[in-house]
Amino acid sequence: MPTSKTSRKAGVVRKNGSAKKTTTAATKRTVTKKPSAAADALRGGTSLAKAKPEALIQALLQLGNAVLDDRDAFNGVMRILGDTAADHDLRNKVLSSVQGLTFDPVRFAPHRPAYMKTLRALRTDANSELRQRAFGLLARENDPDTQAMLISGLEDAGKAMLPPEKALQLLSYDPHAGAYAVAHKIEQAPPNPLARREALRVLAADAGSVKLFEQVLGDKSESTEVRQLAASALNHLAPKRMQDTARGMAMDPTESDEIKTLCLTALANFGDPEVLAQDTELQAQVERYQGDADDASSLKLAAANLKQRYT
Amino acid sequence: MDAAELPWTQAHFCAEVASAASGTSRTRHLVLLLQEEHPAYAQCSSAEVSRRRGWVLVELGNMPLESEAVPLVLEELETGLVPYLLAAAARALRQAETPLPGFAPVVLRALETLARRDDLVDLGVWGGMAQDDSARPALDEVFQTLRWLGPHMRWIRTGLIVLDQGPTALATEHRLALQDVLRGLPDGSAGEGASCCDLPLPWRRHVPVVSGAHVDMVRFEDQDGAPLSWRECFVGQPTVVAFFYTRCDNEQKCSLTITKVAQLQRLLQAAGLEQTVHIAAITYDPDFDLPPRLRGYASSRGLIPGLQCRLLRATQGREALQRFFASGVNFVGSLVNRHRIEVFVLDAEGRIAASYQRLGWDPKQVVLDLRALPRPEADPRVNPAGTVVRSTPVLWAFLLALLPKCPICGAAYLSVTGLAALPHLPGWLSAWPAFALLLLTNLAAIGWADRRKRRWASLVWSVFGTALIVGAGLALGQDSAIWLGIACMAIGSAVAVLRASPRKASTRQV
Repeated sequence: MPTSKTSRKAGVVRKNGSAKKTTTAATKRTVTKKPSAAADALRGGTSLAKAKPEALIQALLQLGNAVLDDRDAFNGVMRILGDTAADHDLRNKVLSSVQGLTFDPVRFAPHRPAYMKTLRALRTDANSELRQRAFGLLARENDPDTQAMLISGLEDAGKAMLPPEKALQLLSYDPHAGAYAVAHKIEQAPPNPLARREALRVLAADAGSVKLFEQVLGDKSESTEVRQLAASALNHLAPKRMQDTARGMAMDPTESDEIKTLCLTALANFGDPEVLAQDTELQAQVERYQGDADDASSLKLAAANLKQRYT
Repeated sequence: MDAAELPWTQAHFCAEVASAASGTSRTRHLVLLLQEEHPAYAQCSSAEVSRRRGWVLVELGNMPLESEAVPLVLEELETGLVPYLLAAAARALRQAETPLPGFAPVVLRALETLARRDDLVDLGVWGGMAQDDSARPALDEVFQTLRWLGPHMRWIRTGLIVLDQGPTALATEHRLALQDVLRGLPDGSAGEGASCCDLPLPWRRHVPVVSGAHVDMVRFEDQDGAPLSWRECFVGQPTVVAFFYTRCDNEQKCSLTITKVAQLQRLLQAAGLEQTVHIAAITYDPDFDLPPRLRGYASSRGLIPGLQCRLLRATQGREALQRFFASGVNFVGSLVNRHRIEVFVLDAEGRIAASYQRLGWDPKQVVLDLRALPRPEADPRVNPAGTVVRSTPVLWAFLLALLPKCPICGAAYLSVTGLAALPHLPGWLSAWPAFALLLLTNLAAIGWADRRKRRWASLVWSVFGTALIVGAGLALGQDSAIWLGIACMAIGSAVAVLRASPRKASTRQV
């Protein structure tokens, strides 16, 4: 049974050479008294099945981080999470609470094996929200088995536990996940536009995809959002080539104002000032944009920003 | 990449491990399978590499651990982050004939790592992924190995006390086990942290392997974007070479390596050696590690780049570079999926004099290695005599071409010997447009001559040779392509000469 305990922390503030001992509200901390019924419920002393969801959540909230000092209570929390018969809403709320506990990594560490085991079990849960969250949490841990499941699901839709765009998003957390090959396949033959966009995001860390991003950026039939993504990726992977491409597109009268604005902004933020200062052709074009565009237009603003860079 | 599409499938790998473990020289074969550059790891994700290496380590744990395999097991415990691999390595280490004092700090390191990121593992299944309640925390295996160390645990007494009482996290059973271990230790910490716990030098410092790779064609770009040749980087002064890449997610490897290189830089300055020794940190990931990234990575780790200390990305001849250093690295796409720690000491001629691999290296030891190197006569980059020596092939080419002969033969000699000597010419890289122009002029001349005779064999050979030299040779750094290209151009020139000769003879008859 947890016991109530009070701790006190005194602060010492030095001012004008004299030491002054202060006790403030912030430094005087009282740990919430742990309700025995809540702890009992979480430990399984009270049957979890019989406990009301609201009471369990309340118990968990009351315990706060103290649940990390009580292995039985923590295991009870894991049982609620893994209980497929339990209320989905309850399990989602419990998962949120446990996520909060991970922000105390030192105290959480002893429970990590049980937590990981529970999350892995949730990957095949019937509830899609829980399933997706479990995949997300494991992907952030670079869990090898989870990465393998995600790639396997992308290779074979029959094995997929998540939509392809979500799986790609989770794989993008780890550049070592080995997802570039499957991302290329999906980029070539996407099941939906979102999946293609996420495939491009994965490839934004692949140094071998520079040509792909040059093509996408230069393709006027692509959506502005995808071309912006390509510009960002190209600037990340090959900044010099992005500068050349951006210059060409900024000068292209057939380009949309959005893309021209994007290119001028890229040149203003990442361009080589010396090169820009010598580029009279570009400078003349920037002057025209400043003169022609509406006062409130983004293009005019981007042109003004770029001009500041070389003047 | 799908596991079924990998160059080595899982089934192939498992069969190979089973075969290695059941035949003669079991340890040697398993150690070969643990080499990072082994084709079994090509195009695997890092996770798949871990699963495969774990499978081999588990097999090593089923037999007496021979000396040859000990550095690989210790490397995993010292720098590993994956619970499955740490557990497998801990079990394998217990198969050593006797525990050594040097094992103790390495086991402590594994304990500290797993105290932050423990997981349930089952060493009996592929990947160690827990299938049921039979799986145990990886820390269990490491604690068993800790107890196996017996009296040698006293060398890490302070570290164990910190683990027990400090802000680290251990489950109750592990904390109790640790306290039990500490109670059993004799009082005092005499000798702790001293040279008692150094691992045998042969496990850390290796005899240089002469690979025979031709690295003259390797080209680099440094942290400021300046192009450099192999000779400019590595000939003239001794060099310490360390490999790294900025996207490495193991802080015990690349990040620590560059931090130690910075320590080495300070040690060299303190010893007054900073102007006589070069430092070169070469990235494994040259496509991504562009100059600004190299600069940032160095400065955030206290390394100050300059003329004597460069961070390099290979722009040409990457394969030759890997062959020369026998690099322990493999890739998925262009990204590293696994590598070992690699630090080399090169003499003033650019030959490997010593190397430190896998296990932690000591910058002080590297300074001792540098002091033990024979002193270079002089830096050929600033010595005219040295320039003459390095330019000898160029001089030979000119002399050969100037020997009395017909103009066509002279052109052929100049063409072939000039190309062969090209890499020996100092600063030739910056003059590449002129060489390209000469190549084109050569092709145009042969084309013009062939057009007059309406016979194209000579031009075909020359075009093919030029394509090999410029494409596979200079652009991709393949030495063999350059020599093959030169041979093709020589054949082209010979065909032109042979075709011209009878006509000349017939003219004389007339």
